Amino acid sequence: MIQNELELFYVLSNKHRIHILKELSDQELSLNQIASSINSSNQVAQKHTKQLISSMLVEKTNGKFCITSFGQIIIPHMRTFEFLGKAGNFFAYHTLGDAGIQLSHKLGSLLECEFVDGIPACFSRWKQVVESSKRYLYCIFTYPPILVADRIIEKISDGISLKIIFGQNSHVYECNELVDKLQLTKNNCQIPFEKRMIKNSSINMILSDRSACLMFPDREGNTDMRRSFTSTDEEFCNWCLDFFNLKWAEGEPFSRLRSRQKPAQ
Amino acid sequence: MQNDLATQSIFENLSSPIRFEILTSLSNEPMKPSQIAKNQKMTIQGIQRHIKRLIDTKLVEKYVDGKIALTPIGEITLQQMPTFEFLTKNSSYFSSHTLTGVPSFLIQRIGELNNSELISDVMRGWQVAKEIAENAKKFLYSVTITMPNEAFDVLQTALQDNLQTKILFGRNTYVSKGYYIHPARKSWVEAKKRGQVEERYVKHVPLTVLISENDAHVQFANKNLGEPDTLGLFVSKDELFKQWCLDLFHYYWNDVSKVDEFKLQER
Repeated sequence: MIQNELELFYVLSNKHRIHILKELSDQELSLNQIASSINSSNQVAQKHTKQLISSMLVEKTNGKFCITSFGQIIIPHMRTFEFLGKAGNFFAYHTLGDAGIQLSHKLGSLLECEFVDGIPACFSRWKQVVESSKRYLYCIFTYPPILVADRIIEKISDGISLKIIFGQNSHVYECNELVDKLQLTKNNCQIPFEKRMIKNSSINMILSDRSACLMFPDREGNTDMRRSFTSTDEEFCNWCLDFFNLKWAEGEPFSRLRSRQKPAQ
Repeated sequence: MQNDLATQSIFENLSSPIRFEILTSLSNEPMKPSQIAKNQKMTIQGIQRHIKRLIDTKLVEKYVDGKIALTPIGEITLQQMPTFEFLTKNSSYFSSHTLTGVPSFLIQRIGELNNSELISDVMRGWQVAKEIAENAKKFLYSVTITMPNEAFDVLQTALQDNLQTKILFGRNTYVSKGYYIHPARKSWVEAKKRGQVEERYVKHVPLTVLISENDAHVQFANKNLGEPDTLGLFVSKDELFKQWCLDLFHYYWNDVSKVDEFKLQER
């Protein structure tokens, strides 16, 4: 029996035990098999399995070790921490912005992704997402990536449905430029380009029906466009779609962005 | 692997009672090391060692004015604590039960069930369910594996007012003998005709949930049976708990594929 979660954290604070737990979530294993999976002796493996058993994550039946249902339930909740580790120290200096606590519990959904650092690499991923779209392209922009604007325009000429969310903190001049370009093209094609305004857009996103790219804000609330999380994974894209739809519902239609005082932080 | 390194070092800090307390105390506001030392009843030198470990793992940082504050990593980590608290305090329950049938978006939110009581006693469990039904005035929604005949009696009065009832049954749902001919079932059937009671049917019910405007309870599947064993029921009046249960109910009511109405097995 464990008394409290601190005991569980102690057991999970060892990379070998984490590895063993994950191996056991797929199949039951003997002590020998466990020892070789962590390149250790049976004695060392035994110490680890003892800890895992005492914290109720693992049990032994008929000489083999297997994961308990408690262990199976704990594993997905470790994905949040794995995601935090994915980008090194990124989340020491960046926040979840306007996604807050709902995202915080679902960070595990974003785990299958690539973390990209630097404008050139980010630009190539944004291009990829735009090019990958077959049905829709949904974006949240503070600073519209003008570099991909032409690609976006080509896509809506092909008939892709485009929706863009801007924030009242968005950069007025560049956004209006993009909007004007898109409005012009829109008049020539079937499918409307729609736009809405929300109070504050700190998480930015480019999302197609195939892939997505996410950018997070720094501690001052400014979106960091030099680093992106990008993925074609379904769970990742579904999370982005849910978040986009949430923000879309909050937003209001508008015609042009107006110059504003920078909002107080 | 970078992933495992962060996971294991975050957990290492969380497993230290002192560092865990320091982290939770910082969730209100940044504090000077001297204040932290005072709260932990330690010397400054003693506390500095712990603070350094927390800074190295990027869970906290030191401001220019010397105060210690949570980083976003620290904040996000603390936001996961209700999940781990809920699961570990019920580790015995979850060793014999699984989250079969709970959609993943709700598994992620399982920490919302933290403010609840686990009732292991079968009789008390029945009593709890009865009380929830008795006190329901606006709505009573249920995904259920069983329905006692006395439910018709309990709900009779409320159905004459404005109680809206929705119940979801599975082929594994069982009722008592005489269910279909129980006298009070008449008002149930009439309420059904005027739309105040709605019933839906699915292939299999792996869990139960009962929710009114006041309370909610949920039972998970026994790991060997694949359905609830009535030996353990979480109940609460907490808003987050009720919302979680409501979302689970709506998932079954709206999203799980339905079958045509069938006669429930009587035992």
